[in-house]
Amino acid sequence: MIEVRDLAKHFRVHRRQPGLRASLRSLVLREHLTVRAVEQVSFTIPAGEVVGFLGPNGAGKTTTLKCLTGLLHPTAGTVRVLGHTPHHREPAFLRRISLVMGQRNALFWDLPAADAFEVNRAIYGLAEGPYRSALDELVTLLDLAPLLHKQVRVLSLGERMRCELAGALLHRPDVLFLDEPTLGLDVNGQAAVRTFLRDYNARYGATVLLTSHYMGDVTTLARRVLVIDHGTLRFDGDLAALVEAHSPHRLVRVTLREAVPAQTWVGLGEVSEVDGAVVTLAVPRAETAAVAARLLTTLPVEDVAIEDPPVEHIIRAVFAHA
Amino acid sequence: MNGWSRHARVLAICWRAAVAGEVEYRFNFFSNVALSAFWMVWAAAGASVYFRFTGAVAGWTQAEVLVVIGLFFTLNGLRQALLQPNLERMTDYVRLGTLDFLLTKPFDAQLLVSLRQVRVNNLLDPVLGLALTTVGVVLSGRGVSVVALAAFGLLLGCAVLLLYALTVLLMALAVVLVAAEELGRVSYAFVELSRFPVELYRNPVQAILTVVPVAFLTTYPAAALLGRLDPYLLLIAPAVAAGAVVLASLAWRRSLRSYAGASA
Repeated sequence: MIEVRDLAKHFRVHRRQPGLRASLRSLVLREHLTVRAVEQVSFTIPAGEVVGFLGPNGAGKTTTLKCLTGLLHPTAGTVRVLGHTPHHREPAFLRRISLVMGQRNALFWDLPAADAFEVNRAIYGLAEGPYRSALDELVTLLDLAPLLHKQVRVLSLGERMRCELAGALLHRPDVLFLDEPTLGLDVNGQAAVRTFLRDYNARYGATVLLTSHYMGDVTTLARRVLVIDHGTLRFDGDLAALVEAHSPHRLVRVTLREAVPAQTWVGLGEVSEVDGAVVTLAVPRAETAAVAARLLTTLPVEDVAIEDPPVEHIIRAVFAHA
Repeated sequence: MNGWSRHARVLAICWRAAVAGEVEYRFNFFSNVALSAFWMVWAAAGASVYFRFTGAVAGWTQAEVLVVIGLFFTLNGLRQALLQPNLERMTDYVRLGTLDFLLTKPFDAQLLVSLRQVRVNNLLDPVLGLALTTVGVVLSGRGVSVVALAAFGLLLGCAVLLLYALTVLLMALAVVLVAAEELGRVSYAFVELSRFPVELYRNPVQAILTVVPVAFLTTYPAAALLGRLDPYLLLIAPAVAAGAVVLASLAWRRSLRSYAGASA
């Protein structure tokens, strides 16, 4: 389905020194350097699998995704998606994939959503029957009925993202590339998008490669993750194994009704942050439930929340071990 | 749906939306028509200065020059209505990543990028231009044969293709340069050079304008209409236009090879 072997993508960029003199000099003499955005990346994704693609900003996630969608020509290595070489951009290939990028507009901005979908219908040459049934299904699943006749540009970010997803899925792609699909969305918006994507994958068995900064996106959708940093692949495997190996703690966030002495926390967990009445403890995974119960019974607690550390922390731990 | 009807349908939806968006501002539309008419009359009046003391300049009478000026307004109107609005958006497409999406669709990206937008306010300009051309032909006192009209149609089509090719070439340049808002001025300058028959210029300017090929925009179509065209140009003009379109298309594809997207 997706096969990547020794993928490399290098960019030649112009290096400009600060200052007016250097700027003027760069008009005539330009210094270039090669940025190795992706180097020696190999992986295979079978049909129907959802894979999370993790890494800090500038790690090479988007570059890899762009090589897989045919937007970028690889500097070296081979990429095969659905049996095609993406950068040849054959219509038979493009008809079977979709790219969704958070906070970017694929739908025609100046059209009402319904017309923007019509454009996609014409672009993909969809017949009335399949188009109508796909649209009706997406309108229901993503609750789009009230949005269809508003111009895309007047929609809120969350509404637009739901429309973007519908537009990207009208032709029922076999492979879906999602680049930060929940970026900037509020909690409800994120949850709606995640639930929809999970259901869509279950229903149609689409192969999904997802990049995200939100751990929730990855934990809800993907069992397998690829971790990339400085353009090279650092981890390829089960998400649970990654989390347990590199994040043996969970975070217990306690909101107190009144202040308590500092020694209260001894034996409960390691205090990782104190923000007024909110104290965050790092607690070993196995003890989380027991600690939460003790906190509720022994302290003047208003609220307790348990969460995984941010994905950046886990990734940092992965890199520290690498 | 086959390829052509698919492409036509997509552009029809885009144009319908562009028209719907702009006709809400009726005042803009009518003031633009009035302004275009004014500039055309002004240009015609300005040209009359050359003919105060002589009946013809470089073999062109005043009425014949009006034919050329009319064609200049026709082409400039088409450029402003159909090509310029797309060229202006090109830098945004590259910067904001819209081009990423256009390129991942099973559709001719060049066609979509180069013809998606239309500026309704300028759509009447070509009609006004052709009206002035008609006035010039009538005043010249020459009859227009069916053959001359057909030759004119062919050469005008070639002129439009040349302008289109230049626009695509500039779009390819925008992909490579990213910050290229000023590229629109190049296409304006190219059309502006065709305001008068190229014979009015001295050599080597005249020779340069023939090669560049500004003469194909207005001078040769006007000559065809007035029955004074060298017949061999009926073969050369389509070849030049087709060559330009192919060259521009190759440049566009080449530019996509070096495309790095909005963020990498």
